[in-house]
Amino acid sequence: MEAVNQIVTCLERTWDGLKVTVKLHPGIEEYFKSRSEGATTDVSLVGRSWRSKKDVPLLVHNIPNELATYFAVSNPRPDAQYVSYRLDQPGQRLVVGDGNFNLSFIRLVGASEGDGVSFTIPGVYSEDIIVQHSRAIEQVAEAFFKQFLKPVKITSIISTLIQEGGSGGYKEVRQGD
Amino acid sequence: MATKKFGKAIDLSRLLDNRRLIKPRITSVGIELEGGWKTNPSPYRIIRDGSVHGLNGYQPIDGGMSSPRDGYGLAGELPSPVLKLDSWEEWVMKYYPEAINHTCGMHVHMGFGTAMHYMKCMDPQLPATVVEYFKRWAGDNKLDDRHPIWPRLRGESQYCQHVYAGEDQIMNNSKDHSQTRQGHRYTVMNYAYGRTGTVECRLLPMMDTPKMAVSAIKELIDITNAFLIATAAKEKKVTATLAADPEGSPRVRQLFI
Repeated sequence: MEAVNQIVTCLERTWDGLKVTVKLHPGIEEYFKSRSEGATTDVSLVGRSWRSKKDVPLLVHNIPNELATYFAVSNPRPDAQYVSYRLDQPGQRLVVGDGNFNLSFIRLVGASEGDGVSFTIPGVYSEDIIVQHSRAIEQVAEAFFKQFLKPVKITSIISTLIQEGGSGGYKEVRQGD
Repeated sequence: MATKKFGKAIDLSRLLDNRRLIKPRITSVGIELEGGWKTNPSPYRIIRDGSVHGLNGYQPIDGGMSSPRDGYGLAGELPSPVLKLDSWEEWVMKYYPEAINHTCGMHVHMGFGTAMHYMKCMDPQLPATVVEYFKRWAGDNKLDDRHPIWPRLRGESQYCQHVYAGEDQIMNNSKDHSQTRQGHRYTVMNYAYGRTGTVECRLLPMMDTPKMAVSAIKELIDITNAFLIATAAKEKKVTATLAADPEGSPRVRQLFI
């Protein structure tokens, strides 16, 4: 089946700083809705670095405690600048703590609707930094998707066929990974 | 990020040959003068600068020193307040030190009205362009071979190294004196965003006269404004996309009984 865009993030330098626009597949936002039990938080209450141009409050779906930590990127690429990410730092800069990449913006309410959600982080960024951040987002977004969302279909077959050697047991067959 | 070599200087001749075309992007300046003063120039006080030495008759400022020895003046640094474009020249003319030598630098901080103009300065081509056009300025003003500007223009000074390290420098929020660590401030253009919100030019030495100093600072402001005009272009958007097969990959488990 054809690949579908899951997380699309656009970075652009503007007069005030760095504009971040995120557009999610509805399935991503559904995941966070389901984990939040419907609760949301105004970003301005937890961080001051995300500014909404239209002065419309930015909201994020809440997350359970087990997601309030850093997650390592398994098998990072040799040139990866960031090998771990966080989902619990809304309103903070794109790099937080001990070099964790801040992917919290994928929790934004409404990011799967229309053109997504935009916010600006004040500060200065060179063109090289923008490219570096974009590559980091690709890597940590992929890590997040594989860890939490990648669909796995498991078919269990109970068979009376006799396996080689005459003993019972089970055999797992993976078709791709 | 790694320190980079200088970029290539860009051609600003169309603008610098016709300066009325240069609309200012710089909105404020701060100037650090180094040298010797007979007394503290009221209302300011000279502060310590360890790089200033060898000024006969002037005692380098030391921590805790309330006044110099009898008959001595004060050697050190006088940083200006934030100055508007219509007032910095008068400040330089009024507070220029009485004595200078080759150890005295003249650092100029440039402030911008928007983050975008600052970001456009974060380009290895800017310091290269500043050096190139100051070579021409020094030649036009007939600064002789022994003038301290020439070693700085040749990249021979540890105080204004010919490298670009903007991405690391913007993260500095204190003044340290290492000339070797990654992101140190001793480069032609020091991106002191974290500490002062300015781009600092460390290329210039103190000039023999305040009039020449004003000319040099004007040149720096014009070069930087012209660079921003010449490199103005629509910003590119950079997109990161994660695409995946929504069906995923199936696993089949067979249990034999």
